[in-house]
Amino acid sequence: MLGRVTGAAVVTRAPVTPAEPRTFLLDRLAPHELPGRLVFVAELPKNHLGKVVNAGVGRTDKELAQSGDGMTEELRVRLAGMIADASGGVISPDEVLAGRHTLSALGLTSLARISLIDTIEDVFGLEIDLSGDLPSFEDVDTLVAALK
Amino acid sequence: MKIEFTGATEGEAPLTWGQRLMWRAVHLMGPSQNYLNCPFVFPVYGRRDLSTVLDALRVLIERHETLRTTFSDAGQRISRDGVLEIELVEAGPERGLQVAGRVAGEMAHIVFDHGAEWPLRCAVVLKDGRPFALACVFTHLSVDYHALALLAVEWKALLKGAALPPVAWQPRDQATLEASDAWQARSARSIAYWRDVLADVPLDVFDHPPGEPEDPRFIEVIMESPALAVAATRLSNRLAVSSTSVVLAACAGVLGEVSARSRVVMQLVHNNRRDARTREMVGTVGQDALIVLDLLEPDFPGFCRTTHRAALQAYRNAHYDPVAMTAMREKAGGHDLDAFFNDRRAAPGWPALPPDADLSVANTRTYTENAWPGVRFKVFFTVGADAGTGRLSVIVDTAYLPRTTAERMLRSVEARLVGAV
Repeated sequence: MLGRVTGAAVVTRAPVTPAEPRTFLLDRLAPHELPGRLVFVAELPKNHLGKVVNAGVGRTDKELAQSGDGMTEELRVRLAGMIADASGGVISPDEVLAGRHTLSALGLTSLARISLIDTIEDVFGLEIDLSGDLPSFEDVDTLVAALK
Repeated sequence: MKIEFTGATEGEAPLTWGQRLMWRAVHLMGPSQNYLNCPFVFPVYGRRDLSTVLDALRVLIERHETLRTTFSDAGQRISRDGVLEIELVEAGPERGLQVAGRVAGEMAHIVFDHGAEWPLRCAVVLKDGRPFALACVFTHLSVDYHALALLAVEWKALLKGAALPPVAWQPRDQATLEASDAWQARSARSIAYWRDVLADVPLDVFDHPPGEPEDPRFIEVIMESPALAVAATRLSNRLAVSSTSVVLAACAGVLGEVSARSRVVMQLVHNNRRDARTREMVGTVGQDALIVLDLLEPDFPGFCRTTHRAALQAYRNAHYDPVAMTAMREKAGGHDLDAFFNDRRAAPGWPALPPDADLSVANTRTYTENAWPGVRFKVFFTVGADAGTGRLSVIVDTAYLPRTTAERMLRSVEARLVGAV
């Protein structure tokens, strides 16, 4: 997908070097399927059924892989504040940042989405095209990726 | 009885976009513009004497410029002070709220003289001499239903003697904002979107010429269907799109069928309060959105998602100067765009639905009422405001859609929703 990079969050039982999983995957995946980013994590975020929560993985990825990238975190926090404002107080910035639920599930209405898009356009001085996939964004990181 | 009010402000400003839309509407509708009047009842909570009730009303008028505004082609004119006549009505043995509702409805029958009259008329309904409710009618130039909800909250607080924070945003501020470069650019973008849609659609909603109308010609067929509400709620949860989009998708599908077209264009009545400042403004803000849908998707859930995305595009392009929009539409050929959808619910879902409601259509009933005199819609779907009834109605021009067809359309919406669960 445009603007997205394949990444892998890896849990290891014993210490490994970043090169080892890549070498392991090299003859198992097509070149475009190889993760561009590797992140070692203590455990994968899971829901109450034990399934991996994808949005949570993305967050771990961003937090760890870009721990030097203060800009991204700042953008996430700023967007989370805008989402909370657009929701008229229904959603808190912390809920957005936690990423445990989709924005729809948290109560982000269509009207709030448009309000948010207006705000983003005003604040960042850009024009957002709603004909693509962007209108259905369900987490703050999709927005971050679109704005970078 | 009368109240004398003295606000803190006065002045003149151009009409806001919301006011321009209503200004055009009241002139198009002429003597039947009373359809646009907004009757509303404010219950008197607790035991309050008449002076407390009148004081609360006075404070509302003093706070909100829109309640002391008169309108003309030149714009809005806000007066600092004035006098409002208040009628007193004794309810007698009848239920007080019932009387208040009737009084408000009766006052709503009379057309407002927008340039000379205050934008509201009020009567206090008394029960055994004690104030029971305030019955009002407002011109739609001054409020929309969201504004009335805001007033109702303030009314309750004022009766309790609470002090309210100053009003942060008035229609005059809105008019200034709408004149800014950013908002003018947004208006131009919305108009460009409408122009693109119109370039690709027929001028009329229906290809067939009007037939012999029934008498009365314009009717509203109403369906009360718990199954519709249950089905729309389940689909909404499963597909993660709003129940509005789900019902809209079904209505669009049915409209496509009766018009024998694969592309459906509808206007969506939209509250339009997306700017944080506008959200809390007592004024009229609503504008219509334009949605275009191609009925090519065979599976209904997929079509619901498509509809949801298209609706977002439509709502986004509902911010525009109605005067510039009208000019563009005339140039584009004068499309009638006479198919509407309105969801009147204040909150998502139908939270007051009976707990045993299910997908059975055995409890569905339909009935017909005369449409309000002067209403001239070809097809106008409305999701009812009642949170305990899956109410969907359609106003039709029987010259195009006979009553039996209208009834079948509502049943078909229900069947599409129930069948997709």
